[in-house]
Amino acid sequence: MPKERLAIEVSQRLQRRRSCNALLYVPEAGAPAFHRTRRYEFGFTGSREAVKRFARQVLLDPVSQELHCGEEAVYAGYSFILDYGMKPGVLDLEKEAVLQFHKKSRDGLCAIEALRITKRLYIFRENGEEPSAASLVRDIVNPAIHTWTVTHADRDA
Amino acid sequence: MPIATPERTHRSIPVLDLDGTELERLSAQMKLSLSRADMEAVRGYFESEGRDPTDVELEVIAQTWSEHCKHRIFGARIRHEHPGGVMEIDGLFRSCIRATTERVRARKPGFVVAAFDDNAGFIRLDERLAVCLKVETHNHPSAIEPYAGANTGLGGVIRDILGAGKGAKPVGSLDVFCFGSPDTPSGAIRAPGVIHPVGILRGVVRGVRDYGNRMGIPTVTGAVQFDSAYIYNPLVFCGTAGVLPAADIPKRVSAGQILLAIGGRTGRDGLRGATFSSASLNTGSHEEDQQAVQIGNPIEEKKVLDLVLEARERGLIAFITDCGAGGFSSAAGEMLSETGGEIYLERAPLKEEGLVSWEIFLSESQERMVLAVEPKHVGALKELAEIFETECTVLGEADGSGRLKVRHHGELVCELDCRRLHEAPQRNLVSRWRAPDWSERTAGLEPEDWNGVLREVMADFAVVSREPIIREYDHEVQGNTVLKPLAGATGDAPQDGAVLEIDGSNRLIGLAVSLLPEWGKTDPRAMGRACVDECVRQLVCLGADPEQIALLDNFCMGNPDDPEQLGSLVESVRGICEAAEAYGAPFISGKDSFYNYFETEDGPVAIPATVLISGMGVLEDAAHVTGASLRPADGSVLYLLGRGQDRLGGSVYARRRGQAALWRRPETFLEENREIYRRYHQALRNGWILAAHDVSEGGLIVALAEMGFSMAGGLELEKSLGSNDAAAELFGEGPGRIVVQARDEDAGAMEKCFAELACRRVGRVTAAHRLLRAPGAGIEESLDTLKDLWRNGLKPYY
Amino acid sequence: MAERAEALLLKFPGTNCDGETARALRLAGFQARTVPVSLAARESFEEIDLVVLPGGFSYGDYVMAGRLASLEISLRLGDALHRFHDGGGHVLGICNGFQILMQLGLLPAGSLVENLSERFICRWVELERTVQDSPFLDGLPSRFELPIANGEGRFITANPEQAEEYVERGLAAVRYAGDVNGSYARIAGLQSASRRVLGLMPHPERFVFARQHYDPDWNVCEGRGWGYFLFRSIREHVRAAAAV
Repeated sequence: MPKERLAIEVSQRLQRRRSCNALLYVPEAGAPAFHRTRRYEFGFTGSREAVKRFARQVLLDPVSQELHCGEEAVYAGYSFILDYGMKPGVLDLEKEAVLQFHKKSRDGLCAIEALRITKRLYIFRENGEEPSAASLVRDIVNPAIHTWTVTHADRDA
Repeated sequence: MPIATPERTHRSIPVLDLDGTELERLSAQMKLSLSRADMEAVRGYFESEGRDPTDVELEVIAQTWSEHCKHRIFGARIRHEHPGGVMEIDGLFRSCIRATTERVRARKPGFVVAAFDDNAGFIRLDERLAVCLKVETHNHPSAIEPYAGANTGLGGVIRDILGAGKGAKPVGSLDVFCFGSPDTPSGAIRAPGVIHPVGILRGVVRGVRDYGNRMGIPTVTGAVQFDSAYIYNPLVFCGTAGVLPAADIPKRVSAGQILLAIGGRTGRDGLRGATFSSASLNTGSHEEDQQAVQIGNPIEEKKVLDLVLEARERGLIAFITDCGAGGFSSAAGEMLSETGGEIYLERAPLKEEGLVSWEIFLSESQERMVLAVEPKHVGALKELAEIFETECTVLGEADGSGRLKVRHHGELVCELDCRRLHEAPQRNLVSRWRAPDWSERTAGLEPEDWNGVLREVMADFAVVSREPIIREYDHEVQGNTVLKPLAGATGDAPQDGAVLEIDGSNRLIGLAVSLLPEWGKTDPRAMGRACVDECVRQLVCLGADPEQIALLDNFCMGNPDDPEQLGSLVESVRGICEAAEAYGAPFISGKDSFYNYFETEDGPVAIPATVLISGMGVLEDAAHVTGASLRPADGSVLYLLGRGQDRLGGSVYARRRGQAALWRRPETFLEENREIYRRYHQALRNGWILAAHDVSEGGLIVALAEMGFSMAGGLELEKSLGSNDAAAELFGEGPGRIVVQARDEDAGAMEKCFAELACRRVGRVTAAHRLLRAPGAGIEESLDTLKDLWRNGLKPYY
Repeated sequence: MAERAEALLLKFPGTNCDGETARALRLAGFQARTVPVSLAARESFEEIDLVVLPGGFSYGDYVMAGRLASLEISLRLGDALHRFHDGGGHVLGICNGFQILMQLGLLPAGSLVENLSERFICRWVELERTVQDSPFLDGLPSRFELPIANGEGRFITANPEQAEEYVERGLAAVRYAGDVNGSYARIAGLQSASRRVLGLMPHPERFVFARQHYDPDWNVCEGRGWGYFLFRSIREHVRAAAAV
């Protein structure tokens, strides 16, 4: 059976845009700002709607969070996006917990076979120069356990 | 669901025909970290067996003989040159540390219940219960991935306690870190891939937090040292204390018993941890050895904890040990070392497919324990595993054959004589120690403004509050933390350690730690003596009976093949042993970590020989619990117990003047101090002591200020104090000193109690102001200002 | 049998305050029994006066605190806990237990999210008892102190006005005296409209003896701590109810 994909992004309603100095080990003048979200990429067979239902039931807190399906950016006006997550073979406890619950609660409508959880940072220019990803990657990502991607905004758009 | 395993799961490795050079090459190829002499011993063993080894057997031997497991430096024969002559040491552990403990045990029969022969040492708490403590380091993993390294470091030491006796209950944890200074400029780090000290600090603290808090074990005490010497080699010590009925300490595996694996599954995520931690770090470590990075799963371990404690209470466990370094191989090796037995690797639940025999047997995957039980109890254990939602698998059995046989899908992949396996060849090392050229403290460095000096010292990283770290830890879960790491009337003032109530006993235990790396740089023997003194003194301050204190030694150093570095280790061992013996405080457990050096662009950087002394003391009565914060008693008297000295070496004061390494270290007057602690405890029992604080980093004036942080009033010090030599009297960090608060009406009794000993009245508590006033040195500073400096020092970084 | 009061503590993998909570319940006169969720069934709540969800990190609190435990309860026990409550039973959720109760919908709508400081916070806090009609809080003064220890203790509602409304309606049973973690309306504890369910972020079980206080000179109520009076209040309440 062909495995289908569904990407879900969960953002925090109450989160304010904050300086990246909170994430850096040595504060920088003119540091950019960030918004943080969490992305869940499911590989599944069966009903897409059932996976969405599962995601809403298990992943979303409707009071404090918003759930977005698909690849569209949740925030506009960013300079770049940093996505990072556990590299294959490194234990991701949240993923294990979600998959374990899925096994227990199976309704037969869908089977989630893979899940990748990443943290996403939207990076925004603040007063200073166009932000560079180098220091953020250095301080946030650890190649010993993480894989990551940096996606720059499409400036022509 | 069984996972398919490949056909060929092991291979035979020809060694019988190899010469020394070829053996050395083989060791390097297989990453065994075995020397030529070791490999020759291996060849000798298999010559007597009349066959070549399997890869499984070689891996088992490499693991068993690794520095991490066998402590071969502490077992080595060392020729030590020092200013007093030459010493021949036949094993630092055997002839120094254990010998000290044996002599103390002979003097105090019954106090130490077990030392050095189980996962943790035990002392007697009361007629029924014993308490244990274990401290481990997790330095290399924490350098590479601070969160995961500290996380699994704490997880590992908790398993040590669960595997102590027939399963002790963990009741409190401690954590001690040595990091580079948080304000290290990025450019000062002279190697790529090295994580900035702030990153190490944040990651390590969160790693401890997320494991300890989830386990429901309060992290109650600790320390942080900041020094540029630790930028490349941060040190992370994690410790846990446990409680067990003394009757459940002896454990034994008998023929016919079943070996059970419980907890997490086995995977490739934990290979070669033991050999990894026995090698030095370089930039490549941050890329190549990623296999060594594991993330802990505290909930898996919590389920194991629930199962073990229930099974032990129901008398189901004959023997238990954790899967630490070496995984099943060391656990099974330990359990079957006398009886012998069989292990069936295909039964081990795996995380992934395709593991070959040695990988399953040696994997160091987290959260696993091995139990030996009577066959009739297997059903009950499986039921408990269902209840607590974990796994319990029959791994093998003990058979009385005296030999360890490991099978995989019917094939014999490893058969070793367990007793002979532990006979690693003894190493021969040389060490050297030369006293530095001390310089005398010179005039002209004395400042005019002692208020300014006080503020400067108060805000030094060596003195500032660990509050941002402490608040991240649940230090009150289990509801037994009666003296908390931050306490006093405002709940935020520093204490000398922590005190825990023990369920089912009227007695309590105190926990404290001490390390003085600055001293170790130039006078490691003085460091050893002073560390033991400080740890004992803190426990005495907390209310522990000075006759019921046990210690742990954890050593970290650079390259033991460098005679100068090894010399400094030997000197520090001498120091701790002298002090422990004088104080009658035995070592009950210890650990060592070598190769804490790093190849930078500017050459190798090694840490100074660092010793952490952790201690556990028995408080006989809840009424003895004593905090370090002054109590609301207007006009009460402050005494300084212990002899003052004019030496300032190693102090914060000297460091800030760039003189730390040059000035002589203060003496530790062991016999005199011991008598003071004995009398202090008598005074405490008589109810004369309201509060007590040890004099440590920052000196007497800092100790006094800290005592005043949580009360409404101020401190009025004697005019004589600091009028002659303010630097030494107020900022000296000489050991053996305690500041004590007593009621005015008890002053006479106090002075009599300490007659002919060093006991000096240093001031009074006053309700008239909120100042620290030391007129002898012209100091008049607001306690609130000082407290803010102290409280906010770490905040910008954590 | 009016003298007996039965408390059941529901334990999940990761629950870790069950020991001291059972101890506190017994001190206040309850028969207390801890039941792992794997053994819990609908019938478990028969003959029980008080169900307690103790603190800890159920299933690691991954995704969000209390989420997986609340799903597990629904999966295994269906609406048994709701029925227990509807039948007159009392429910107390402490810390993680409060988080689970929020997710289960046994308390007024809202959520407990990450503290504003993004830190775990272990410290003592001043609290205000703001209601007169809670069977759990009868024996407590209008101001008291308890320790907190949580990373996700910030109480929020769909909008801040809703939290204020909870205060007006007498649902915000316990409030922080100051701003501790960004909770709306400083809410530290919430009760149901029935008054028989209480969720509390602070830990009363950690302060049943005066000596558990951080200040050695604190001794306001003869060796007891404030938490003891919470457990005694509910103990007396269920005893009185049983006697009727």
